[in-house]
Amino acid sequence: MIRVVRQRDWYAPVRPAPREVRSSLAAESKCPPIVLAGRPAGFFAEHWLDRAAERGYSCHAVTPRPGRFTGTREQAHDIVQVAASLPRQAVLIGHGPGARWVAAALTRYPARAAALIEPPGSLPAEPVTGRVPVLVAGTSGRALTRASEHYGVSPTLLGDARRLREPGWLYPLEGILDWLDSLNL
Amino acid sequence: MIGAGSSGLAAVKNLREHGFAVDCYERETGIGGGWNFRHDRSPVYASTHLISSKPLTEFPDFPMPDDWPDYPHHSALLSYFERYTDHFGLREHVWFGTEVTSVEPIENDRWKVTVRPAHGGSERTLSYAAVVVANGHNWHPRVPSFPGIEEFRGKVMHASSYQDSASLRGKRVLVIGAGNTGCDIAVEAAQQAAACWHSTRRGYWYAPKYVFGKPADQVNDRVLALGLPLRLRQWLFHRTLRLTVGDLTRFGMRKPDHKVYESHPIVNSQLVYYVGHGAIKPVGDVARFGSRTVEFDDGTVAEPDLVILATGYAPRFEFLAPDLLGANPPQLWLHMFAASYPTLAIAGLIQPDSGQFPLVHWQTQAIARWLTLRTADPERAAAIWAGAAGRSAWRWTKAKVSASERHWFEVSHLTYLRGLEKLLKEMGTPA
Ligand SMILES: Cc1cc2nc3c(=O)[nH]c(=O)nc-3n(C[C@H](O)[C@H](O)[C@H](O)COP(=O)(O)OP(=O)(O)OC[C@H]3O[C@@H](n4cnc5c(N)ncnc54)[C@H](O)[C@@H]3O)c2cc1C
Ligand SMILES: NC(=O)c1ccc[n+]([C@@H]2O[C@H](COP(=O)([O-])OP(=O)(O)OC[C@H]3O[C@@H](n4cnc5c(N)ncnc54)[C@H](OP(=O)(O)O)[C@@H]3O)[C@@H](O)[C@H]2O)c1
Repeated sequence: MIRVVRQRDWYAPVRPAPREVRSSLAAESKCPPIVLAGRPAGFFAEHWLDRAAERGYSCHAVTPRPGRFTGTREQAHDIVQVAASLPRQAVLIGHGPGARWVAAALTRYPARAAALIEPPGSLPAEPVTGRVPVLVAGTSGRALTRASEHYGVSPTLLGDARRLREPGWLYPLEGILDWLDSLNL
Repeated sequence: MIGAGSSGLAAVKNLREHGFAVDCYERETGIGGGWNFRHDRSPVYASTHLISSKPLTEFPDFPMPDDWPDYPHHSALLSYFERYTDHFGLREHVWFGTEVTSVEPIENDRWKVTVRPAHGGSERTLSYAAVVVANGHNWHPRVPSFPGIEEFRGKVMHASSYQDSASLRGKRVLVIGAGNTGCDIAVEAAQQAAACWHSTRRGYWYAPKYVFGKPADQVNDRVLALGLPLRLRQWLFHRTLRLTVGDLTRFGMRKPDHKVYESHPIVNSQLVYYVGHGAIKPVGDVARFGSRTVEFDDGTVAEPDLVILATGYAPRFEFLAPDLLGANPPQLWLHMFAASYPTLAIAGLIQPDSGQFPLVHWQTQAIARWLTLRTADPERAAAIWAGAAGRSAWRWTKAKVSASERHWFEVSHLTYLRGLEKLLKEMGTPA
C-alpha cells in the first residue's frame, strides 16, 4: 500500500556514513548508468564493472556501510544516495543480499529499470515508486516465485546456483544487459 | 504545465512517469523559479538558507546528498533542482522564455492556452487535455498602504527587491513585518545597519533552528509521531521555548496573541539574540508616517532613512478568469482542484509548516493519478469527484490559524499529507 506519511524518515533520518563505490565509465553516455549492489563491491569490480562499461553502461558498484546496527533501511539509503548522485536516472541491479537492498531502494527511488538476482524471501510492503521494468532472476525456489509475483513478471531461470557466486561467470550480466538493450532506455 | 520552479518540475516528472505527454511553459530562461537568484522575480536574498531541515524538505524520491548540511543555502537548492531536472530528463519538455497569457475552458473539459515569447513576438494558441498551474505564490509583493506614507522622504522598498545586506550598511533601517523574510532582514540590519527597528502588528513565537541539538522541525515531528493531542503539544512547545528562548516581553517584544501552531512558523535563532544585544529595537504596529519619522501604536517614534516592507506576497493568476478558481482567495479542494473543472489543477498553492517539496511531490502524484483515473475508470473517478464536492472550503491545519490574509492556504504537513494519502489510496495504483 502506498505510504505518504513517513514520519520515521522525517524525525530520525538515516545518518550519513562512508560507503565504498567503485566505478567503470562507458566511453559514451547513451545508456543509463547502472548501480550494482552486492557485498562486497569487489565481487563485481573484477569482471562485471568493466564488461558493463564495454557494452556502453557506466557502472558503479556500491558496498553499503558495514556495522552491527546497519539494517536494510541504511543499506537502501546508501544505494539511493549513489543512484541520485548520478547525472541520469539509474538502473539498479542487486545480487543476493544486494537484491534485498535494491528491493527496498525501489520503494524510495524511481529507477530506470531494476534487476534482482536471487531475490530475498521477504519483500517490502511499500510499492515500487515510479514505473520501473523489473527483471527477477535466480535458480528456482519459493523466493523466486514470490518475487516474480510481487513484481508481476515471469522469472528468468539461471541453471546453476553455485556458479551464481562466481564473479567471473558473466552469463547473468550479459542476460541483464541484453534485456536492458531491448528496453531501449 | 505553467512554470518550471520546484512545483512545475515535480509536475512534469510525475505526469511523465504516468505516461502523459507534457509541455511546460516557463517565462524565464532557466529552471528553479524563486530559488534562482538571477530571476528578477526571485524573492530570495543572498543570505537565504532553508528554514526546514533536509528530510522535511527534499523530494521523497530524490534525496539531497548526505554531505549537505541540515539547512542548505539557496544556491544549493538551485543546484538540487538542476540535478533533478537533468536526472529525470525534464529539460526537453520545457519551453523556456515563453509566457502563458491566457487559459480558457473549451468543450470536453479541454483548455485553450495562449502563449507568447516573454521578450516580444507573436502569440500562439494551443489546445490541451489538462492544465497544471505551478506559477508560484511568492513573487507578487503585498504592499499595504500606511497613513502618511506618501509624505515620507526616506526610501521605501518591498522585501522582494532586497538583495543583500550591502544596501543596509550604515543606514537607519525600519523593517515592517515578522514573517521569515522580515526576521532575516532585521537580523542582517542588526549586523550591518546603523540602527534597526522591527515593527510587528502582533506578537509571535520565534522558534530556533535547533533544539536539544537537533533541527527543531525533526524534534517537532518526533513529538507529532507520539500522537499527543494538540493542546499537549502546544504546552510542550511553549515550555521548551520558555526554557530556552525565554520570556520575550522581557526584551520589549510583544506577547504572542496566539498559541504556537496558530500562525505560520517563524524559524530564526538570531532575532531574539540581536534584540537581547540592543541591535534590534522591537516596536509596535505603524500608526503613521511623517516626512522623516514613523510613529508606532506603542508611542515610540523612529527616524529611519530606509523602510523595508517585509509584508509578504499575494498569489496571482493573471492568465485565468477570476471565477475559475472559485473566489478570492481561491476555493480549491485540497488546495488543488477547482470544483467545476476536473482537468485543471494547481500545484504548490500551499504554505506548509515544513518544506514545500515533499507535499508538492505527492500533490503532483495525485494529479497524475487523477487524470489517469478519469480515462481509465470514469465511474470511480466520478464517485471520487462527487465525494469532493463541497470540500473546497476544507482547511488542513491541525490548529485554528489566526485570521491573517496570509493564512488561508496554511497547511500542517502531517494533516495535509494524510489527506493526500487517503486520496491516493482511494484512487488506487494505476495499471
Ligand atoms: C525568501 C523565501 C524563502 C523560502 N524558503 C523556503 C524553505 O526554506 N523551504 C521551503 O520549502 N520553501 C521555502 N520558500 C517557499 C518557496 O516559495 C517554495 O519553496 C518554492 O520556491 C515554490 O515553488 P513554485 O514552483 O511553486 O513557485 P516558483 O518558485 O515561484 O516558480 C514559479 C515559476 O513559474 C513561472 N511562471 C509564473 N507565471 C508564469 C506564466 N504566466 N507563464 C510562464 N511561466 C510562469 C515563474 O517564472 C517561475 O519560474 C521560501 C520562499 C521565500 C520567499
Ligand atoms: N527559508 C527561509 O529562510 C525563508 C525566508 C523568508 C521567507 N520564507 C517563506 O516565504 C514565505 C513568505 O514569507 P514572508 O516573510 O515574505 O511573508 P509572510 O509570511 O506573509 O509575512 C508577512 C509579515 O508581514 C505582516 N504584515 C502583512 N501585512 C501587514 C500590514 N498591512 N501591516 C503590518 N504588517 C503586515 C504579517 O503580519 P500577520 O502575521 O499579522 O499576517 C507578517 O508578519 C513564507 O512561507 C516563509 O516561510 C522562508
